[in-house]
Amino acid sequence: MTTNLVQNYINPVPANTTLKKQPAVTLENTTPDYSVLKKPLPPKGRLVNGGLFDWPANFAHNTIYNAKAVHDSYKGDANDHQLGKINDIGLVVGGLGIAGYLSTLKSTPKTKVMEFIGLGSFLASMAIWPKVALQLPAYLIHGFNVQQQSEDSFGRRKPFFEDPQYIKWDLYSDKDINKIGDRMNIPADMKNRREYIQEKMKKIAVQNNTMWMLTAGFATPIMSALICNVAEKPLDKYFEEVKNKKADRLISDIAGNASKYQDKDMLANLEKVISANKDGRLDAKLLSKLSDVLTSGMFNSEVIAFKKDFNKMFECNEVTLGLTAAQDMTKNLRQFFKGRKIPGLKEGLPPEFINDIVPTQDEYIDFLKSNNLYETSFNATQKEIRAKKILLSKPVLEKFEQCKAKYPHIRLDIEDMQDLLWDDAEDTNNVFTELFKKNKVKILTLEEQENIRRIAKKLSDFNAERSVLNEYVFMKTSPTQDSVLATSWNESVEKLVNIFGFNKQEVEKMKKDRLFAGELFTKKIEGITANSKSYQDALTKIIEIKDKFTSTLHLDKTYDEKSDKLYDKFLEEFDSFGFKHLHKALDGNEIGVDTKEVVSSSSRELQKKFMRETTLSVQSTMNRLIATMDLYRRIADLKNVGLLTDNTTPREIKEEIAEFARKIMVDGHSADYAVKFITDRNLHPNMEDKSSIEIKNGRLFRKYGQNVDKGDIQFDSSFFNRVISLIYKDDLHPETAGLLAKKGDLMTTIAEYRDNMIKTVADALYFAKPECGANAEIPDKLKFMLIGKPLDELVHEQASKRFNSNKWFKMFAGFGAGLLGITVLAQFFFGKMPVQKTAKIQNPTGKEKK
Amino acid sequence: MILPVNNFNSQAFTGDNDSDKKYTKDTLLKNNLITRTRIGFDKLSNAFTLYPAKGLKGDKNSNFYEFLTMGAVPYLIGSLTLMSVFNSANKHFNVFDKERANKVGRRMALGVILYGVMKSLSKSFINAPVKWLTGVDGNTPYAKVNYKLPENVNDTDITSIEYHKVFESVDFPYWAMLYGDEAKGKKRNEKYDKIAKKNGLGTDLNDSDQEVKPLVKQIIARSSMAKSITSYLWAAAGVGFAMQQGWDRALKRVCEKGCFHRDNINETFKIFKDSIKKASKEFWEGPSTSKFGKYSGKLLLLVPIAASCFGVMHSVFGLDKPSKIDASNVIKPEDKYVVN
Repeated sequence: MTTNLVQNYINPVPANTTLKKQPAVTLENTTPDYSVLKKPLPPKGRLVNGGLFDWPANFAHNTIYNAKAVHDSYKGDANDHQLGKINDIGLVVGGLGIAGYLSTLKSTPKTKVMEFIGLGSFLASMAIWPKVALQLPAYLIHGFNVQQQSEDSFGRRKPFFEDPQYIKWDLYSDKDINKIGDRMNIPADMKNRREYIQEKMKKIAVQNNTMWMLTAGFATPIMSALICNVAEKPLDKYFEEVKNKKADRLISDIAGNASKYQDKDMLANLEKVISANKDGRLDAKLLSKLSDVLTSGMFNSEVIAFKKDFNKMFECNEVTLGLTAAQDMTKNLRQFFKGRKIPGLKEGLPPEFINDIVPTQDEYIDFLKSNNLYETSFNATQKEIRAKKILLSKPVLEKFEQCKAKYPHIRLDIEDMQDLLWDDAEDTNNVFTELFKKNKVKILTLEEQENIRRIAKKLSDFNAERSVLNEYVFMKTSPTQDSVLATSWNESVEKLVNIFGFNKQEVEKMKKDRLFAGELFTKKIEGITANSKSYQDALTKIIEIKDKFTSTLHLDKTYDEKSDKLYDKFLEEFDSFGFKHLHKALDGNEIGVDTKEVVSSSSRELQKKFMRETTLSVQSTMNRLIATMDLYRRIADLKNVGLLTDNTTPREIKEEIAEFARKIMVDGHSADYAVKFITDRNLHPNMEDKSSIEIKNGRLFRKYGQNVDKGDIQFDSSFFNRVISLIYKDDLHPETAGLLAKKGDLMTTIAEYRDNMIKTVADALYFAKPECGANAEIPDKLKFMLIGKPLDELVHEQASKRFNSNKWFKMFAGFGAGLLGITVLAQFFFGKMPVQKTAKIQNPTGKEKK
Repeated sequence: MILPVNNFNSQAFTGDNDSDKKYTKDTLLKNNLITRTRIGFDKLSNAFTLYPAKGLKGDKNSNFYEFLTMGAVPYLIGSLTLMSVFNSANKHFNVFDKERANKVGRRMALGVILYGVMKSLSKSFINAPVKWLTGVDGNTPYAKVNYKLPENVNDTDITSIEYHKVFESVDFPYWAMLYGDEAKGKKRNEKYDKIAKKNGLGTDLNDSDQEVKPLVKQIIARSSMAKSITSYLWAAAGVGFAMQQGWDRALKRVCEKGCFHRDNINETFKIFKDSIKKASKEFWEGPSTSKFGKYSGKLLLLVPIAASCFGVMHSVFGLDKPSKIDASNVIKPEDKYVVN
């Protein structure tokens, strides 16, 4: 017989369970007692409120429900609804996996966060789209929530209209249904009104659900992308502020923040070297090893200087001979005799002879001990060295005397041996001279160990605190997309370009090429500089942007002051060790010399330049824009334009100078300055007409130079100098000066900029041959940074960026808006039902009611 | 008017028929590639044509099956839109911007494709071993004959076919589909016998169907959970793999005209082979610049593998199987009572 196991499954009772007796079932007592029958529990289903204030409760409910769903699914006891929730959880887990992974591929906090925002916006879009595009319009038009959630007696929440063939209408009260019916303008006295309204609601819900499925695929990615697009700028701003504050906090307490920059490896490595060489000789090898460890992370010039100081510090004037010296003496003497050329002996001294005359290590130790020299120091004076040479030669000479008779063919006498061993000449490889030199060292005693540790601590502190300064510069100005400089610059450039008011067509043209961009940009400046008001308005805005940029970056003297303070503090510390070479490397000046002279190669100056140089390029670009505006204004107004208004220069030359000066300010690269402005000009200009140039609406009117043969006039320093003079030497326009003067520092900054340009870039000293003048020493990098970004490139890039962004936005936001419009509009066509017909069917009298 | 409709419930349910003829009753289908493809195509074409048309009309016969089937529409359109978001505007950009945007856009597009592919494929990583080890095939399809309300008095075509899975509901699996047709000489519990045997409940059971049903429910619930979670993890791995720079060359090649031409196809495949190799290496090794990045690719790949293995084991082992106590030891007919 086979077993029916299901009984055991349903009632899993152990085999030995004590059985409880039940009364036997008989026919008499099988009649049910209806009086005690219990009714089923009342249903607990309800419509779920989805309002804003219900959100916390709904969130808590869903979280608990999901947790239970996970638990039950794991056990294998889950129901269909719970398994559906597991799918939602899987979606989020997978999404987090993607966002988490992609964030590890990104390098900046903002881009990392953007990955999670992307996920969040996608999930949010999935939820928001049906609410905004379907639920809300449907509610406003039809008066009920097509996305209504309901909860059954088991706490399972589902969309009420999910299955049109099974809608739990009893959850809607008559009052609610009638209210919806009123909103739908269903006649109040219609027969079977509730059924009709329900049918209509069902129809609308089915239509909306279908619309949802058809539109969500388009809407969700587009909405998500738009959310990310919008979120990017505030996020940039937020991270810029966070980073800026972090950097400022960092520099406000350099010593306090330095702990995490301590090079623990250096200290650990030092301990390793010390413990391996305890009581060892501080010879050149060990000193080199120690200084290599100590100088980890320092500049090369500092390493060289420190090594000199460190070796000096452990220089020793006493010689100590011990076990190693005894070993060396034996070894060195053998080598010494082996290499000697002795007259009459072709193959040198025989090995057995050398063995006989060279004392063994033990003999030397005994000798040193018997003469109280073992491990005892003596001054390394010339006299003492000589005396010790003689003394240490004694065992050799004695042995030589003893075995001399054995080797008659060796024609050496005692004087010869003395000469060999006592040789004082510096250039000879005297066996004892080397030995004394090698043993003229300090011992790594406990005291010396402590000294080295103190030096290590100071160097470590110095490097750590200097790292704080470096980190500050890195956070503020590094060429990474999330540095404060990059973020502020991007924001500033956008605003700067906005001042010129390019329209969409212009932007589209400008993004194609920098030449188009330069041309349009020039026209814009001409328009603005043509009159005083527009010029002053524009310049005021530029000044404000520059001011904000400077203040955001805190480009004040704080960094320089902090750098000086740090260097001064540590110079004092290093001076106490007598590190004069290191002092010079760090400060540029000797110890005790305070010339206030800036030594550009010193670490102190390099540290300060680090910050200055990283911001120089962007600062120069802004200065260049101000200078350009000023030049255009001066030419437009013919004020402070020097030779342009004189009556001695031919008009055609003046026109060429004015036009070229304006052009070079817009599109000039450092290469243009390097080649001293190669440009095509009229080879035979009109020299008669010396009238003034003409300006119309800010634009230079060219009377000459059209339709003529043009070419570059080489080595024309006059043209070069005149252009430079017009741009950088002539006074600023009074309006420019007035506006700059309101921001005191800015006036000085622009003056310095103009001055630097003349000295560094626009000097004619090396005109004939580019490398012959004094300015050839100025690094190209500096020239490049001083010139800044050509303005045509600046606007071209900005236009390109704006065009890309606008194009994308226009495509997808336009599509999204259209989709939203269609979806909303569709509501007006939903729920159309023949009132009369339905009424007729449902009205047994056949009379239609209106 | 009462239409001459056969009683749905009066029909016999068998698991023997799998032909292409129009179904007149609920019919179990073979779970093979051809059937799955046919069902997939049928559902997809309906999801884009018939069901939206019915839904937008507010058809009284629209049902939950149609709504769920239409779920493929946002999935596919969404994928295409997502690809479009990253690629459509690129052609208007400047050369350098376009080149850069295209690289990212193509990788994103590949990410979308691999997301879908891995999500679909990965379900087999659970389903196949679970079927092999327990005999329970969570994907067994059947054709359901659905009876609709007539549109009007002349509407006599009131049936429609829906494709379901026998175990798509853990609450109400369509057990009847698995019974054999005794009229055709099949053993009624043949399929249940196999499941019972696979799960160690023994052979030659009186009511193998009753024995295995609770067990099957447990297997279905657990494997469904495993599928839901792991399929998204595999999808994430797919996206991660697609984001490698190693793909750039191959994806650029695909966008070139004539890359699949007879003359160029070998070169295209070679580029693809190289790219897959390179991308796999990059994915596994991760970016050296990031501290965590070195492990992120490994983690993204190993987690779904581990989760799938665990999911299979969890679906197969540690189930609440009925004890093997003989019923004759529990039921005492002479005392006329039943334990508990």
